[in-house]
Amino acid sequence: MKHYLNTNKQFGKFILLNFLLLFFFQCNSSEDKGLNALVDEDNIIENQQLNNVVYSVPAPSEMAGLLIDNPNLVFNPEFMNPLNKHEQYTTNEKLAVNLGVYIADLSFASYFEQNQVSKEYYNMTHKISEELGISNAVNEKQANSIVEGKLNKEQLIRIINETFMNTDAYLQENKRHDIMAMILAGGWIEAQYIAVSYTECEVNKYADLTQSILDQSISIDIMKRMFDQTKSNINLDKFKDDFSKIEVSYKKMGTSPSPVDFKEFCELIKTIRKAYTN
Amino acid sequence: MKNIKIILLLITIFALSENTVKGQCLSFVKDIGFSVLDTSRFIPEGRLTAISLSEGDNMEVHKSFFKGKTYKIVVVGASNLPQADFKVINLQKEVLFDSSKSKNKKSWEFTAAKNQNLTISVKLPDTKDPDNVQRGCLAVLVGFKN
Repeated sequence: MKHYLNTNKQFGKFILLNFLLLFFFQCNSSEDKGLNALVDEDNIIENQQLNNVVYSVPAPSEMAGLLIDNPNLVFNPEFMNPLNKHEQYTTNEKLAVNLGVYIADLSFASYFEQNQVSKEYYNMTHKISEELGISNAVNEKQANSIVEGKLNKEQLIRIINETFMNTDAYLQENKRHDIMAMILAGGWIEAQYIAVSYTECEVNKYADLTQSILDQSISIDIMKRMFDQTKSNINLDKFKDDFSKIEVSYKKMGTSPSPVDFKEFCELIKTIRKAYTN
Repeated sequence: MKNIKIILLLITIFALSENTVKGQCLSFVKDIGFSVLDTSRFIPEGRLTAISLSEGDNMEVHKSFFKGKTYKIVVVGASNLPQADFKVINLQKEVLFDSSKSKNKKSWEFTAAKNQNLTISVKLPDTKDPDNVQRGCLAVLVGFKN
């Protein structure tokens, strides 16, 4: 009996040690408490990719590149979401969506090699990432090179993409695919908002830009499937609804949209963007 | 009692190994994946598509590709895994690329002829040693030319 109790105690210690190790690994892998706290608050949501199927929605920088990296356009900072609006974003949902919005804005400024603006928006994305508990996504060396402002657009985009990949990895590791889904939705809408703003909702103002906007219709299906796959305690239905409305509008426009249908699409994007950023 | 101990032990070991594997995926992608991608020629996209898989497992990535852009798709796995086979398939189920029939087993470069959603279907070969099934990070990377 004594031997049995001793064995049990030893085994108990072993299990305790294992759980302590597990705790240590989990803390070390994220190097912050913010998101872990979020996970606790949300009762730990399991958000795994189902059956190893991944719907890879374009990153905000890719969206910006596809839509806005256009030699016919001149940089217009008025299309960007003002930095001072950040103070309004107090929930995780608003922070996540607007992190995507600001990353799209940062990419927009970077494609036009607006180094000072890029620096300010990079700092904002860093700040929001920290508020969401994902600050270790930022590589200090790369952050400094942006702050020094001596990079061309390709170098800037490389840094933005690598930083975003760190964020993606971090959120996957912490099973927060819902946060990533909202970031991607925000980035998608912001890139479209900037593009339609250039067109002034006129289908023929920039024919190549209109074509780029139309091209994005294929990514809606991937976006919707990603939301269908993502489990969350945050209600994601409104995002699904938004993209369903956009899908309907795309179908209505077809490959050669009428001025009325294009204007309708343009206004829809503006309405959704307003809801995300206000 | 003994069974409970074994179950607890297995859960703990699984949780530990799973977390460690996921933590290693990003650095693996940046070390090995970026090298195969050749980042001097291709800009890596910002998405990380990496999953911990066992020999014999499948993975599918659905992604949009846009007309006129030149892409490179890279599929790499951890050193303990065999080289995965991958196919790129369009919505009509036509196979556009099959690594098992190509000299290049790890990557495919192409310029998209049209806007389309493609499926990158990855298959890790079945194990040759059922008592020692290997598990590790498998990543699908996409880069583009600006």
